Amino acid sequence: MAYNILIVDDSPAMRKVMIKILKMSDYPIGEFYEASHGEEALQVCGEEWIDVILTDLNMPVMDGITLLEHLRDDELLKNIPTVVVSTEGRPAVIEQIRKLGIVEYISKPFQPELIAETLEKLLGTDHETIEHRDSETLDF
Amino acid sequence: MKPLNIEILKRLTSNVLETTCFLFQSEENPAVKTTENEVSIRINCGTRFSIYLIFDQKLSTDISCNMLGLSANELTDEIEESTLKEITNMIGGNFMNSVQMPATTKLSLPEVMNGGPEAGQSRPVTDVLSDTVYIENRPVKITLVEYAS
Repeated sequence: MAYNILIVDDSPAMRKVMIKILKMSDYPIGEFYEASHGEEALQVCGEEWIDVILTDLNMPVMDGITLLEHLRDDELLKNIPTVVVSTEGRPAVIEQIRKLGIVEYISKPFQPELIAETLEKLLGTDHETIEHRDSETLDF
Repeated sequence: MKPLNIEILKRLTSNVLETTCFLFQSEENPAVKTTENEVSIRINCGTRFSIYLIFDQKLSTDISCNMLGLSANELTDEIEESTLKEITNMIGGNFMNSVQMPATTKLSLPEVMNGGPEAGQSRPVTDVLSDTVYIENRPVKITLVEYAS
């Protein structure tokens, strides 16, 4: 199974970097979709089949926290596995995204291999359906 | 303002460039001729701090090429600017984490500044700290401006 990935970041450079990293990994990728903020991301999710979302937090128009809230509140979108990729490391903000159901977080700057490793952890190497993760398994 | 803050910024600059671009901190090398062209990026940590990073143009090109896996002639001004802004974003965000700024403090979007830290100051400044870190023998000038609350 190949995964359709939505990358949400206001930085065109960072979106290019993540796409490049994933293309160079062996991870099975279907299509890449890009959005520069949360509002665009929701539009893409409404139009395309998305298997996983990688999102920054600090973005104009609609930030990552607001995007996560919208995803959580949408019956069709709430089960899309989402990884936060951000510079944010303050405990109160991390707690906020944990409560929104995020179980995987990548801190910028990151080692390139961490992206594919995190997707494998989240989606499984056998490309099976994702199990619901209890917040206690949060490991960041 | 604590001089430690500028040391934190130097360390973060070195770490970000090493991790994302495989460019390493070095000593100053007077034999290396720096270019006259510089790129200045500013990011605001809430209303209290502004961080200015001034990159030597050659280093700016190297950062973009390494981070994106492109050759110099594949770069556009737009993508090079985006790369430096993202580097600045990483440094600014990690600085906020390091000095434990409140969770309500927002990081601004990075912006290119014409004229460096001296230009466009409209708020009362309480302190300015500056230093330079050398990456692959090229300077990154770092200025941290603290504003009156």
